[in-house]
Amino acid sequence: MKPRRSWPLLSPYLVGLVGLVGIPTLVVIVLALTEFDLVRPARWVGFANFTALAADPVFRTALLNSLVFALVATPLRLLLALALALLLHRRGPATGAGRTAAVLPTAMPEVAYGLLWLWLLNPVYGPINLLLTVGGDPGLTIFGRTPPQWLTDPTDARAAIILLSVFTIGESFVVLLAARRMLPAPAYELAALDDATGWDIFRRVTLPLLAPVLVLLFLRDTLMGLQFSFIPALVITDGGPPPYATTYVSLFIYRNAFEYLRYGYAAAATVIMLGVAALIIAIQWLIIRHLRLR
Amino acid sequence: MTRADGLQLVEVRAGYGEADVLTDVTLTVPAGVYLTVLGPSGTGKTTLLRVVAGLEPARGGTVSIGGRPVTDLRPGRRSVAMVFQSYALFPHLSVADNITFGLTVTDVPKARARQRAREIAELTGCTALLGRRPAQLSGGERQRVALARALVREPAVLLLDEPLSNLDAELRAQTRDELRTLHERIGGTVVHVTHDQGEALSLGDRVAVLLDGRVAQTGTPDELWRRPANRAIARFLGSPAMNLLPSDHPLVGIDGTAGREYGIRPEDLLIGSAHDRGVLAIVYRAEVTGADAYLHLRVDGVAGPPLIARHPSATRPAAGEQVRVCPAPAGWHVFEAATGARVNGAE
Repeated sequence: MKPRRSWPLLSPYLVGLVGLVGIPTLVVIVLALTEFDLVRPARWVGFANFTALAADPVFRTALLNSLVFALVATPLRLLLALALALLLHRRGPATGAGRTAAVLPTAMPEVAYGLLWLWLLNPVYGPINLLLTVGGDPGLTIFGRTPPQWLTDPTDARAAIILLSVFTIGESFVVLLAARRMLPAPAYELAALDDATGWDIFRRVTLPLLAPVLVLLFLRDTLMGLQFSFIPALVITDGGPPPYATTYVSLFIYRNAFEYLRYGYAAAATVIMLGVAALIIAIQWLIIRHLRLR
Repeated sequence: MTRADGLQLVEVRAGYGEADVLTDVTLTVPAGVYLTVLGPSGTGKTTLLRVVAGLEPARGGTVSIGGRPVTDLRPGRRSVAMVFQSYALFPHLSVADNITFGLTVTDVPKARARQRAREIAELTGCTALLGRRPAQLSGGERQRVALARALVREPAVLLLDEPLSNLDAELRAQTRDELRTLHERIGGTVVHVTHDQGEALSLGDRVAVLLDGRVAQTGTPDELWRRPANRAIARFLGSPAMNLLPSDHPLVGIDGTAGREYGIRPEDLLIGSAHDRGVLAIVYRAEVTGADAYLHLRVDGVAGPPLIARHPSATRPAAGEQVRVCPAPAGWHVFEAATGARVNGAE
């Protein structure tokens, strides 16, 4: 087939890309340079929104929260997905049930998932803190005399959002499971004949062969991580506990746009978020290319 | 039995799912011997190698290597190496890293491993390939690298699964010679499975014929060719297959004993002109395969499959011509008709 002939086939997707991504992006960029509250007509303000954001401590907190979340949660999520995929790729007793269990949290509606965690994380009767209890002495946990205050302590709340995010790895798990099952069996037989240990097989065979898929999932999951935290932060912690411990950029944008009606301000934050995401992906890409060429 | 220290299988049973592919394999390969295992497709040749390598569990019996039972050892502890039919290599590693893999994972120092890889690469003729990736290799090159990989750990037993079947004819002949030369240089016990009779008979010091999940006969290529132990082996070796005649066939003559079958290979049927000695037959087809032609003959008044005789194609009779057929002296292989067991016959 000639390359030109592929355009008719791509055009439905192109319509979506332009209509749902391209034009809204342009609108957001233009909106970022204005002040708009749905009531009065939009007013051109130039870069005023950006300078205001730079000085806004809440936005800075939100940006930092998002970056820390992506930095911690993304590797954890990928590691867990890889571990589960390698654990469950072989057919054995209860692998079917195990695979289902690995995917199930991802299949739940996010709000329901969030509400479920609200109960799980309850400091008094929540199962998580009950599990952390040591011995019969009420209140004594493996973290010391004070049990984690998941919903009220800033650090514990950030940890809680990360904790609940590492279970929604169904997509990465399925992709890695499929990728692992596609790896050539003879490669493993060669390794067995060479008396390679499990660790050597993982490091020298499985990991390099899965690397292309892992890179793809890592880049994608980083982007997702910058956005994923929105619903749990809204449903479980409501952006708190103070001061803005779990206000992520996505929540910050949502609040400003739909609660405070500061559309220009929210659009400017969105543009910055886009820039930060692009920067992170570029840095990761450079590191990966460097590793691959080595 | 000191020379039996290469590889020994006793009553080995193996298979997949419900069915046993290997029902009862007993086989002794003396150390340093190049054994070819010959069998039709689906007879368990690859399974046999995989059981020896430990990649497939034996359901019964024992496997010993170098006099040491290895049935319960994992593949890496058996001192075997295998070249897969697909010439499997690690796709993500360079040729050099593929060769050193088995050394690296067993903690051989890097410098020594590289040195070994270079030596082996030279021996197998893949020095020029060391920097390449498997995807950049041709079939023949892949095979050399797979061989180098296998040899680098100096296995007691080298297992080759149809090593020549994926090569073109010219390369196959060349590689056949090289395998032989390589074996003469480095010794070691080799088990080479193939479905190609020419390959099995020309390469092997000894040949084992695998039929229906068991070793039907083991011997030197000459022994197998001249004294096949039963009718099935006799029919399997040789292409076209040996002619099998009932005892009352005119060609067998008055020596025929009831209850026996008489086999004679196409090259042992001599063709003469109509006034020579022998049985009268009509040539109804002549199959020319180059220097030789296979004549399909019908003997007057005898039903059943045609006789097939080999004859130089330059002097072959035309189709439709009447000829005399006469068995070569000592060309007969005699079998019990009921059991197929060999009674006596050609030397």
